[in-house]
Order: sequence, then C-alpha cells, then structure tokens
Amino acid sequence: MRVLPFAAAFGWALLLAAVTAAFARAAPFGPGPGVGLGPWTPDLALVLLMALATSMDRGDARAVAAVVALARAALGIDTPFALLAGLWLAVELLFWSASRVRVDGRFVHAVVAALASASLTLWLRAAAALRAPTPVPLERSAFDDALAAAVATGLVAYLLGRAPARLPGLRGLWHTEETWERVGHVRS
Amino acid sequence: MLRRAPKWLFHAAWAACAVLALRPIGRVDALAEQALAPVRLAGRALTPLAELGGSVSATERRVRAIAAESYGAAVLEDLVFASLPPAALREGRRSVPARVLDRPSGRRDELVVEPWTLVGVEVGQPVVVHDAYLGRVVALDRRRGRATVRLVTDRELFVGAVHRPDAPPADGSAPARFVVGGLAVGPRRAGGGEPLLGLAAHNPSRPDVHAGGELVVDELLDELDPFADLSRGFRLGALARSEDEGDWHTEPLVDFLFGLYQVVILTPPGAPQVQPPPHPLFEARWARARRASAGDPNPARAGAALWVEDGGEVPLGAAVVGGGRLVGRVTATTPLGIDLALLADPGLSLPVSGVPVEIETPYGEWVPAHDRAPRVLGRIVSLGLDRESGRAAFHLRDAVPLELVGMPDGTRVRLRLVTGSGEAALPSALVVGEAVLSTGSSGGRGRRFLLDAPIDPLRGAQRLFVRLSDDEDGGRVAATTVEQGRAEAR
Repeated sequence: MRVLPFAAAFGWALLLAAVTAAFARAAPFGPGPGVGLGPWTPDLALVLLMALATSMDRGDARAVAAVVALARAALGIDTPFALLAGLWLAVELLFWSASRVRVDGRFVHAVVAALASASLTLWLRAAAALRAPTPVPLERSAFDDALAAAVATGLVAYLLGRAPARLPGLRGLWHTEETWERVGHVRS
Repeated sequence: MLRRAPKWLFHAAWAACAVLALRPIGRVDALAEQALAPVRLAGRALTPLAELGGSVSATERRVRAIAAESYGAAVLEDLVFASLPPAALREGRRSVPARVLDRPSGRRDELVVEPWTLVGVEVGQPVVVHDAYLGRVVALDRRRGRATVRLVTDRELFVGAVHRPDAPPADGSAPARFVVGGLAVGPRRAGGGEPLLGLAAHNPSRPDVHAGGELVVDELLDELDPFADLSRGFRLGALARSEDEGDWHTEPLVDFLFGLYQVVILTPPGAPQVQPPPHPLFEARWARARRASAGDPNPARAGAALWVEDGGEVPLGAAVVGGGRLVGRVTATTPLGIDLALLADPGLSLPVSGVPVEIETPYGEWVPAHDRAPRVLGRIVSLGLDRESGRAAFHLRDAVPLELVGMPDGTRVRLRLVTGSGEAALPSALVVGEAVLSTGSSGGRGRRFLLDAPIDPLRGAQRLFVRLSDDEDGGRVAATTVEQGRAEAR
C-alpha cells in the first residue's frame, strides 16, 4: 500500500500550486496587486512532478501526474480534463526524452521541464480559448507566455534539480525496497 | 492502478480527457465538479496565501470608490427611460417596461422578459425599444410574471412596413410598401470582421423603389394583427439593397443578438401605471459569499473559489458583486461553493451599456458629457490582462455605432460601463468599470479597450454576494450604502 506517499504528493503539489498562484499575483513581484510575476511565474507543481517522475516507472509517474492535476484543479478554474491531459503529456514527454538521452543530469532535466511547461501552457491556453463562450484572439501571443513559463520553470528546475523528490513523505514513491531474492535474481 | 492498466486503456483515457477539455459536455463537467469537491475543500485551506503581497494601491482605491459611489445613482432608471418611446410615439399607447431575462435555449429569435406588470398585457401586443420595433408578445406566464417575445428576426414573423424616402416622390405617388421579417446577412466589411445583420424586406409594392430612407411599421391587415395601431410608426431601419441589386434589407437599429436589455410592451391606454422595480442590488435574490482560494495557479487565468454561506440555486453565469460592483461570473457550482471567473479572465463575456461621463475636446481636454443617456454597447469579451497598463483588456462587438448628439465620429468618450440584462442571473445596472471609446462604428471588426476596474477585485472586499436564480426570491439584499462602499474602498 502506497497511499501515504501519494497523499503526501497531493499535499505538496497543493501547497506548491498555491504558492505559484500567490507569486503570479502578489504585488511585490509586479506593478500592482493582481499583477505579480504573471507569465514569468515558475510552475512549482510541475517542477515537483518532473523531479519525481525522473525516478519512477512510467505507470507510477502517470498516477502522480493525476494527483498533481487534482491539486491544481482544486485551486484554479482550468478544467480538470485539460490539466490531466496536459500533465500526462508532460510525463510522456519526459519518458520519450529519457529513451533518447540521459535526463538525470541537471541541465537536461531542466530543459525537459522547460519544454513540459511550455507545452502545458500552450495546451491550457488552447483549451480555455476553445471553451470560452465567445472565442476571440487572446491578448498576447500564447507563444510568448509559453516561452516565459518555460524559462521560469526551467530555471527553477535547474536550481532545485531533483531535490523536490526528497521532500518529506515522498520517499516511498521513488525508493523501492530490494529483497535478497530480487538482488540475487538480478545478479544471476 | 495506472501502473497495472493496459496501455490502450491509458491512451483511451488520455484521448477522452483531451476531447473533453476542448469540447465541454455540461453534464460531464458537472459530474467532475462533484467528484472534485473533497480536493477543493483541501485547496481552500490555503486561502490566506491570497493576502500575500500588500494592500490595495492608490489607483485601486480610486476605481473602487467610483464603483462604490456610482451604483446608487439612477443608472437603472436611466436605462429604462432610454428604452421608452419618444413623446410622438407615446400618444394613444401605454408603455410597460420589461427587463430581458433570458432567451429560451436554442431560440435566438425569442426573449423571455419580466414586465413591471402584466395588467393590460396581452398576446400579440408589439414590443419596442425607444423608436425601434422589435416583435410581438407570443406567450404569457402570469404565475411567474413573465412574457415571451418573438423578435422580427424570426422568419415566421412578418410585419407590414411603409417606405419613408429621404425626399418625397415628385409625382406625389403613394410610397412603396414592404413586408419585413427574418434576417438578412450583410456583406463582410473591408478589413475583416463580422458581417452586419439586418432585417429582410420582401415583396416591394413598386418596382421603382430606391435604397435610402427608412422603413417604418404600417400594418394594413388589422385581422392579422389586432394591435396594428399600437405598432404603427415605429422604425425598422434604413432601407438598403445588396450590391448585386438583389435582396432588400434594413440596416440594424439595435443589436438583436446581444443588445436587448430593457424593452417596452405597448398596450392600449387605460390600465394603471406601475411603480418601477427596485435596483437589482435591492432585490432579495442574492446569497452572501466569501473568498475560498489562494487564486489560480495558471497565470493566464483570473479565477477564484468562493464559499456561499446561504442556500439557494446559483446558476452558471450568475453575477458576483462586491461593494456594489460586478467582480465576475460563476463558471462552476460545487457542493462546497462556486468557481468564479474574474473580469480579467480571458473569454469572460458580458452584455454592457455605457453611460457617457466625459468627452475629449479637440484640444485634448476632458469635459463633462452633455448627454448622459445610457447607450447599449453590446457584448464585451475579456482578452486578459494588458501587461503594460496592468488593466483588463476587452473586445467590444459593436453591431450598431456609438453616437453622441453633435459629436463627430472619432470623438473620444469616457463611459461608465454597467451590465445589461438578457442572460440568466446577470441583472442590469451593475457597475463594471470605466473605459474610453471613440464614437462611430468599427464596421464589424470590433474594438479593443482597457477597463478601469480593480485588477484583483476580491482583495480587501468585505462583502461579496452571488446572484441566485431569477426564480428565487428568498435570498438577501446585496446593496450596501455609499458609506459602506467608501469604507471598503479605503
């Protein structure tokens, strides 16, 4: 049973998403209340997901992505379906990258996190635009926002590396206990 | 669970999520909201983070004060007065103002209206706004105090009309007659934008009629329209003809799709006059609410969750007010409260009217407007935050030009924007903010403008109210006094 580590992942994702929301609008980071870092806000919940997924198998990583999507849906008005599809896309991007290059390194990990952030930003903008009652061209280029989010999220992912995966309660998600039988089987 | 799920099952779930994200299904969205209720409860524990970042700025205080003080003005009365027929068309008629509530689902050619009274109102009576003819009453619901109006845009509704040319014919012959009813789509204007919609005009009585002048209602067949005398003389629009000399149509006088908020039912004189209803903030159709989230983690969105403290049905799209001004509309209802899209959330749309406040002179000075009658502007759609000014940007779909008496096109006007009605649980006369627009028409392209309104309207708001269903009468009154509004603004 690994309910507790998943519950811990939900709690951390919720807290990080709330901090992200505060940074996005808090006055000290922008020209006034309601205009904080704006598009330059790092997606901290995504940073956590990418740090965890690097050390997990694909099935568990998809489950953690669902947990992170739940946490973000608890705070925002993006549809949970768009969040789930977008975060699964991020996980698939990570594993696709891992099949071609080593994503353990800090720089490559940050690049993958940046790409995932840009993809998620573009996807959520597209979903919001299509669901709006009267679709109109959005105010700024979605690609500008995606680039800003990618830079901010990639920078934080580079600075933190895989440290978010070592937050209290998350060890059970990525650290698998080995048995003598399994080790012996591998060695033989 | 996902670890053991077959690969095809995961891909099917992924595809389903992607499709549901792009093509919403109301019932599925509602089910998802119900299922998410427990996690939303957890999310609301982090609400104190919303206060991170200091107090309300001086600019914010100014726009809050404007909104708080202006809602108490006679905006609603001005809106109703602007919809009444001019004096020449009031003779021999009694005007019953009615608020547009909604359109029956899927029927753009019908309105559900709430008249001030149903005494003297009958099926078949004409419905107008100012001097423009709109349609007829087709059904009455006396128990709920509602009437259904069929618009002249319906291709099943016809009305006789007579041509008033710019100059009377030299030979003194009788003017041409038409039958008007149904929509006519105009050409797409140069530079893009939407084609303008007019009314289709059929069966001209004379072949030598020329475009120009206007059509006014003049129904000759009293047996087809027993209230023909009441509608006689109301305008249908300027007569025009398509470029290939084909179909006749009229140029639009009103925005039939997004610009009908207050209408007037014409009845024979004799029935008693009625008292106006209270301002929507003074109606007992509101529930108290308070902030319940730290904000949206997606920087491109502007949303929040609210606790609703009183019972009652909150429909999607319902208005949320704070300090007498509109702060947003409901996007989802959950067992624990509501989700709210703020004015700066891209895609949020509103029907609005504009009350002229100031006009810019050719010398660049701003002077008080000489004509403060509200103008129906139509639907505005939020484009999100403008990063340079920090204000919410909007797109206005203007189907009819903005005109001020004696002012040339291109004159800049500062307007106080208030909501129009016509959508469920969004009453008229709620203050939205202020904006500067130019007179004239965009030719179907629409206009972009910036709104002077609080960027984070929930910050510091002590009293929030959400509008209940139009059928609810057991709620609270949302009005605060001007003094309370000023106190909140501080």
